[in-house]
Amino acid sequence: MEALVELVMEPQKVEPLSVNIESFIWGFGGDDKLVAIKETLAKCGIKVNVLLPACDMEHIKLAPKAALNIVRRKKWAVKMEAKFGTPYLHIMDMMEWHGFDGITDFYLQIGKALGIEDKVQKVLAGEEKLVSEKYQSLRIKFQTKKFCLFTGMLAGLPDLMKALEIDYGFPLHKICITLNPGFQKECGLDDKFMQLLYAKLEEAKKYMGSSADILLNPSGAEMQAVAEACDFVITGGDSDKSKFGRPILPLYLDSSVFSYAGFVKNMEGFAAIIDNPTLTGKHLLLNRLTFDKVFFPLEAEDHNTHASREMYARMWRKRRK
Amino acid sequence: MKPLTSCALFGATRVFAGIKDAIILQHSVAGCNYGSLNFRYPSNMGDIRQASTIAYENNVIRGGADILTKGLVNADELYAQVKIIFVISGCIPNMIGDDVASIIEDSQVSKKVIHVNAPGYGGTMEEGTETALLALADLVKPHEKSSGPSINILGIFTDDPEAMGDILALEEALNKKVKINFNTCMSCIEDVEHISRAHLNIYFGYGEALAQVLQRKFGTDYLVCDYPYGIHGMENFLNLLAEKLNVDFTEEIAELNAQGEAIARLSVDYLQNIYQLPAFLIVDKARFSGLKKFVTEELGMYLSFAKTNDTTDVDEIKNALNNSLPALLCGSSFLADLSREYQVPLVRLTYPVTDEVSITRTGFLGVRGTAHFLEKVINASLQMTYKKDSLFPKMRKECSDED
Repeated sequence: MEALVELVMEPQKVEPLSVNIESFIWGFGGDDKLVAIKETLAKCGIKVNVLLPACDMEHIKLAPKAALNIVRRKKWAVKMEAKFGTPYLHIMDMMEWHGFDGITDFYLQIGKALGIEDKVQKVLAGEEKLVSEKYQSLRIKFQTKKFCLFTGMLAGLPDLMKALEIDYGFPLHKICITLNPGFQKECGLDDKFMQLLYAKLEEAKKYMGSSADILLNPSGAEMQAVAEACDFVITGGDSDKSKFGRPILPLYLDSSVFSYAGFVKNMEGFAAIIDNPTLTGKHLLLNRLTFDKVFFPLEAEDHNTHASREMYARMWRKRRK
Repeated sequence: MKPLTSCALFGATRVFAGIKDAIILQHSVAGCNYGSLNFRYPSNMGDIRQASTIAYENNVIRGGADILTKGLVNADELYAQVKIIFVISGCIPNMIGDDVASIIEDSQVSKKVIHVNAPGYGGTMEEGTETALLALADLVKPHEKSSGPSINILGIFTDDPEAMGDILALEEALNKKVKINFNTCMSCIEDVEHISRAHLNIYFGYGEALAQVLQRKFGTDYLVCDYPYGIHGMENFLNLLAEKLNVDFTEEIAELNAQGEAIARLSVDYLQNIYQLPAFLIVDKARFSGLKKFVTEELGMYLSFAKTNDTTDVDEIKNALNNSLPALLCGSSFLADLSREYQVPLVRLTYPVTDEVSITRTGFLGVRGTAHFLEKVINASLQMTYKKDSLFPKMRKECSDED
């Protein structure tokens, strides 16, 4: 990308209401996200100049025509700003733009950068109105059930809690965190930092008005009790959570989107499961194996694979020099 | 409307095709013969015992007595090995009022002839199947029950995908402790006559009416079972038989579970990748309940659309796909176009399968069958061409349209 900035792009007369969008790393459904962004921007009178670098050389030359770059990676954007004066909006962490407020913020930031914040605000109000009724009815539906969250995350948990409780409206009853016992050592974190992480969790709870109880490294019996007290278990891909005998709400249904309609569609995916809960995994083939409690899906007694994991950590992941 | 099943004539043909010393004579147009044979492509194409009277336009006007008589005489002469002729009368003879029973009587052929009236306009494929199964009841003779425990299996047909493999897998699972006396997939007339020897009739989706007649006439108890997909599915099946027939399958179930663990170990990464992913299930009623349980309870997938193939059609499935894409389609070859269009892998599990063959007879049941099933799911996913229009086709199109 930097080479394209240095060697291909040419100085252009800037079109005030146009943007370039970096085409890579938008994740699952990236095409739909970019189309949603393009369509919403078009309603605001903002044109997509170039999809970089998913275009031909002639169009790359014209990239400096845009008034703003929307980027996933920063280095080339910094270079382009230095050479052609094109400012950029860096979409580093998708969670920052999650939910209705995140989506709103995304477009308002673009509007602000292009000097048409008021117009963007009007367009967004219209877009929100189109899905508002459905959005609210789904939130009401979610409020009628109790949810527990099983996760191995700590640092990213406040973002996940915000996504679930604030953005979707799932009332979290309990949160069970099962940490890798080697997490602190492997990441080189001292006790002070760990306390900071825990404090951030409590702060996030207070900020969100969450009444969820947080259990750190609960026992199997405790997790079973938590699951039995709830209607749905929210979890990622850990199949062992199916052992609790409660319907699973899989986190993969949550994906970053850049339209209110797209977000409501995510909600509809969750609602379909809530309306038709099934016990997927009652006799799971996967549960015939005994997995390591921390490193799923490594088997507990698979010493070679554990050794391979440690080898990778020592030789690469934890490498300092 | 684009249906996923066929008509009553097809249903009746499917039943009689499993009787290896019988010939099916369709009293109908050539297309019925072609279609019903074409849908049997993955089964034993080396043994074609099906013919047609080839009704033409002039038969519509003058009647079909000539061609039916000719068909019966020819079949009697040419198929020296067969013992029975099943005549299935289709749409045309019924619409024009051919007196098939009289024609058969007057033809004076040497083989036994059974007539089943199954015009396509008169019923669904499922109804034709049940009608044909009921027709078999007249061939059953009274016999003493077999000395050891035995069952009849109704509802697996010779043109079901992996049908023979499934029968072999069931035999293996029963481990000679229970004999399969008769099955609708591969039998002979003598087996039909001896249906009354079994202690229990098992039916998968199809055959309830026949089972009721057999109970009335011969006192044979019957049981509807889920098609025993998966390790737990087969365990359940064996437990049901154990209870009904007073047989001990403890050893067999222990071995089943031990091998189930081995399969899980070999496929752990794949199983973990499909866990909780959405799937569509559109199969026949024989397989529906068993597959639903296997896919959700043993594979851990979520069924976002699940119907029997006689209660939905291609348009409804397409709407569902437009609404929310699954990671897997389970159905027949009729879903192949949708699979390609929406880039969703298809596993062919139900009749008709016209674009895949089975020579190994591995089946989908038992330990090997479960592993085979998993291979199909994983390979279908790996071989699916995703993003065949390159990256961001929608976005590129929109940008170039503007240019």
